[in-house]
Amino acid sequence: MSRRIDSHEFYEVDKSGKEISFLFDGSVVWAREGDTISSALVASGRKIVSRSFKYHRPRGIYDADGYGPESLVTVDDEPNLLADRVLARNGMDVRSQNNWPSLDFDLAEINDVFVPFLPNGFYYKMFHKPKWLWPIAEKQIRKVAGLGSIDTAGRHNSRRYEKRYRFPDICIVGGGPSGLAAAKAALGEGKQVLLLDDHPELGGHSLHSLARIQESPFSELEGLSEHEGIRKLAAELQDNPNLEIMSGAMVFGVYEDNLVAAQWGNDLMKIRADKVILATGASDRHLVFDNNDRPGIMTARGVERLIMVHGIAPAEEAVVVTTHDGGYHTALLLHGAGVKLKAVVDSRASGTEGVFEKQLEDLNIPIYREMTAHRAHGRKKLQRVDVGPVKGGESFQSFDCDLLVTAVGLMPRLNLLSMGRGRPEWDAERQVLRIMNLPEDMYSVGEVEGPADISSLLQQGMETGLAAAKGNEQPKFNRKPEENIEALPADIESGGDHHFICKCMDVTRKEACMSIDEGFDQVESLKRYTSLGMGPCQGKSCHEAVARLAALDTGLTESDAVPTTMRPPAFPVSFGLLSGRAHHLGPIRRTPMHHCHIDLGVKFLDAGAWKRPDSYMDPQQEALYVRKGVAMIDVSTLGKIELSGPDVIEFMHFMLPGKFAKLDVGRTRYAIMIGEDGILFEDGTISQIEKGKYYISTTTGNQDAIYTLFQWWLTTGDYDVQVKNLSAGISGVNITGPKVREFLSSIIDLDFSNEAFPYMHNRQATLEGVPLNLFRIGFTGELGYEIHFPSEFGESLWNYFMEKGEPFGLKPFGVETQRILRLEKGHLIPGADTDALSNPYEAGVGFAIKDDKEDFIGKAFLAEFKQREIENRLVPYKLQEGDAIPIDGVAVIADGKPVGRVTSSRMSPTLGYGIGMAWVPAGSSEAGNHFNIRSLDGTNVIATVLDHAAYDPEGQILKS
Amino acid sequence: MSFQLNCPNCGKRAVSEFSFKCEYMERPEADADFKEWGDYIFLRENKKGTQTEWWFHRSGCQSWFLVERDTTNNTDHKSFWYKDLKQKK
Amino acid sequence: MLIKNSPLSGIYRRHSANTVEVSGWLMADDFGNPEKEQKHLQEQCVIADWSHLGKISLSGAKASSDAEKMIKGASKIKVLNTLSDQTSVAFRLTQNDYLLLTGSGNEESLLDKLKKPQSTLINQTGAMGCFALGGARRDEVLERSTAVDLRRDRVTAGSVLQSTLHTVSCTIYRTEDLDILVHSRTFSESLFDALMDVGIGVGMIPTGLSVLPVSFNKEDA
Repeated sequence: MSRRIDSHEFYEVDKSGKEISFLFDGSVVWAREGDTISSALVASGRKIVSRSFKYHRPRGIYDADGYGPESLVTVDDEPNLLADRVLARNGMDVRSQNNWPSLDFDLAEINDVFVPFLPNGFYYKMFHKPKWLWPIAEKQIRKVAGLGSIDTAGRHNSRRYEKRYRFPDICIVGGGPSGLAAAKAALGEGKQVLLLDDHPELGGHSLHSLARIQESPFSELEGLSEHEGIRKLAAELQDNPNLEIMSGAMVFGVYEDNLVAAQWGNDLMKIRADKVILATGASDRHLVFDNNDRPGIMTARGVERLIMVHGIAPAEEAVVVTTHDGGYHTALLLHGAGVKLKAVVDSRASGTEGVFEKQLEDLNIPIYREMTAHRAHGRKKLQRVDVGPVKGGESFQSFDCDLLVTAVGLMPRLNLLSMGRGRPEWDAERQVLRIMNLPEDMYSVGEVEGPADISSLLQQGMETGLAAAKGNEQPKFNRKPEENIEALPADIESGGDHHFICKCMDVTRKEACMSIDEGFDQVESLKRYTSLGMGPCQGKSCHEAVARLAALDTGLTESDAVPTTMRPPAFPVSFGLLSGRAHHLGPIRRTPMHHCHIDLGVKFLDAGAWKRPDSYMDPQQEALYVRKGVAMIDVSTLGKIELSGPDVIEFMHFMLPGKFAKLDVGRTRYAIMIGEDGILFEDGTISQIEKGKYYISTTTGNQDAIYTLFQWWLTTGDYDVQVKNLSAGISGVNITGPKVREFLSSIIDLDFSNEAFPYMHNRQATLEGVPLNLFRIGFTGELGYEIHFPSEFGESLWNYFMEKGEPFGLKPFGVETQRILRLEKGHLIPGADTDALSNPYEAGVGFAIKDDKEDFIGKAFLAEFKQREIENRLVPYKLQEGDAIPIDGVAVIADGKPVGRVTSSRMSPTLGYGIGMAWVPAGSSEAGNHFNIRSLDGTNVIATVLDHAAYDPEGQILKS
Repeated sequence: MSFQLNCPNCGKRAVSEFSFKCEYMERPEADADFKEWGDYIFLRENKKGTQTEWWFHRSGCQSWFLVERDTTNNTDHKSFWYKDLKQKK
Repeated sequence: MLIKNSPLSGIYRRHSANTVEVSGWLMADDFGNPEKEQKHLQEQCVIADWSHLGKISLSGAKASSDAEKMIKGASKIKVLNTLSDQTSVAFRLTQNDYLLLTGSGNEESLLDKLKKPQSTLINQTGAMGCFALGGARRDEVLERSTAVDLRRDRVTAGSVLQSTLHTVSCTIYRTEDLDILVHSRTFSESLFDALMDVGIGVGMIPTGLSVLPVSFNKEDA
């Protein structure tokens, strides 16, 4: 059993943490402040913490560091958090995942017994025929194979996630000895440094090392033991105003241009530094042998962390398998914590003595050489370990124990380095996978470059920090021969079927071999077929084992058997963090009259970022207010661009297909815009409002695009033109209906008579001190005036109109109503009734083109279009009274085949039957022709092509 | 895409602040034959290597400028004004 | 004369602001508790609506000589720098683009100095919203609002830049005590909501002109 320790032979145990408690699967677990969930669980004697993905094998705390999948739990309804990383809080509710009915008694563990019958791809091979079987099978498979379940009630939706940014001179990832030394050096050069570390306390693995610091670059640390020295170094830096420390920050990605992304609590930190130093360190190497996943098998550094950081003796009796002096260090720590050491099993021959090995020998602890672990016994907890020769075969000896420590070398934590687009390579000398080429401005240092002793780490960290601060290249460092740790064979071939390579996805050596036999003999294909390394840890704990075993079993060369690309996120990241605050989704544009519309009970319509009034009541009724009385719509979202200057006519003649030299002051003209490809994309009006001043109104959606396009042409062309984008500064309303003349005459000092202010003309006036531009246009088909004014008056003016208009029955109307009205009038909307293939001649707006100009945008294509025959036309149509109204977009049918489509379709409240616009073949586009519209329910309605418009076809109303 | 693009006016900014228009191309003469126009409208080189492109600093100074960008490595690029392109030639 | 409304008029109503008329504009004087707002300005951070400020943009090859006529010395400003006097401040946004801010109602007197503009001149007063962020913790609001580097040793007092806050394009003008955000009025309410949304976590509250009166110079603040 494991327990808390009060004292330790080699260091002073910190017992200051206050006692707290939380629930694990409903039972109370006592913890100390500073505990992780894992350390508290270990201290309480719990062995099983999770169940594996596929076979539901019991799993316990392994590295106490969150690099593997073993510690995934649900905390306060949030699934898939790492118990190794989450600090224990009083009263938290922790639940285990993927088991039924309970963690200790999981019925699905039966899967494990059937391992031989559940090979790779079993599900796909078994259930893909007949087809109907798969959805049923999938449901069952998902139930048993899985992780935590999402709290669909969304109980943590109230959590605040923020996105934050940092721009330090130097960003250092990893607060171990080399990271701290780099920080110290860079700070010494006057740099602003951001140091990220994934633990609550800086120091990395040094926090649990007893090694003496000798001949380090920092004299103040000389002779201290490593855990004291590292704390001293951290404390020395702590208060430097140029250093920002983010403890407990999980750096999950390094992206293009060295953008570093980290989860820091509920904040997503995006860090853009001049230089990035990756000092991510190394984890204990995975040892593959039979039943190597049993609860009670732990890594050396995990055990050391539990002892020295959390004050826990994690077992009664332990066996340590090692390949280097570090294993003896762990053994010493265990011994000092009162754990009975049954054996230290060293794969090396004698004569390899290190400092700790000597110390241990003096304690008379049995050491077995040239051996390693062969097999673990015990199901829910480790009971016995067989050891034998490194090359496998017969086991020599068994030890009863409840803890097996693996200290078989180190595995650089390459994930973040690999995201810099470098491929890992096997360094035969250092016996690790390394990434040799980093992108510009990125440095790596420390154990991520292979194991090294504390003074090397400090020295190299310092030199790298200095290099980064000075903008020099990454310094190259060698390793002393005694620093390299010989890797054991990729698998200890001791028999048995449960040599787990990937614990996340429950993939064993045997399964990998079967897949290789089936032809998946490259690392990439092997990964995809077996799902090796595709689990929650994303290969962090197994990528080396996968690559080395692939090499072993496929005969791939070392240079080909490299891990697959490691991609972000390197750690689990919550979706909330990535999505951020709701406002990150997109801002809203409002017109000045926005709150007037709300007061009137509007229903809004989203038009891009804009909120526009859709309608205030039934649009059919609103339309009748326009036709019979007077009504007002907010048109502030229209684009408004003013052009002037010596070359203004020349510029407009180039930009637009129309001609404007004869457009007099006070006149307004319909205009279209086309692209160089001749396709219609925009329409609006152009007015000469003062001598030489042309005012263009564009549609809502194109206001920014058109201004930007003008700017582009002005960048490349030689026009002396002034272009003013007045879209935000000028707002507008359109007041329209038979009573509008009477109404406006009563408040604006201007002659509104047909003679003085004819159709397609503009005038200027002043109302209550507000300057107005009035445009008599007819989008709704009714007598109407579009009134433009400075936006700051929008709210006041709207309310003024509504108040003064009351005796005339003035009503507000919205965009949906306007769509009905314009459809009655047969006006097209570019982008709604046209698309990226609509040429202006076919769309029926050829009248707005004057192509007898030297050059203009789209000229070449228009000429081509003119030569071709017209194939299709956009036509207005009407239905019979009583016919059902088809929806927008349905097909026009001839001889049972689709030959066109309806672009807009509405009930006309004025006429009492359906109207619309449709693309039809030119042959049936003559006025009076009939065509079939196929509704979604399969019924046909017969439409009649109209000459101009359904309403006021001759334009009598508009022009009088 | 997380690289930073250099705006000749505002300096290095996240690429999300910019709009890409197209590769830089010379517009054909008005009376060029239709095939030339078709190529101009529809064909792009999409070079592997360095190409000149039009970019717009949408979220910043609203300037149009040119970028010589190595399409295999976004971080290697040069930004300059259109008038400087003419000087180059 | 009809009243001019700030793009935040809806916010004023939602937060029950006390309003005051300034040069024909209805602006927030405070948001109900000037003492508390003052305290937040001293100790945490506040956001004030300065949308009524006069704003004039000048663009084109002659922008610099036109700007010089309105504010002496403006033609000498380096790009992304500013020049302020008691009533106005000139931003040089690019070689050929200026934005001038001036006291509310002061636009006409500036425009009078320029009889015949040679550049593209727009009175942007009603087109743009303007917020002032004050208080020591405003950096914490900004770092949650924009992806642009606003480190104080790099973006020093008196400099100006254009980027986005909460994806809304803004001109950001930094003084010793304030960060001033000029943006399209169409986004004002949305930008205010977004800033408040992140600001609330660092103690930001809205305030009005009585607590944070308009000033471009440190001396007057």
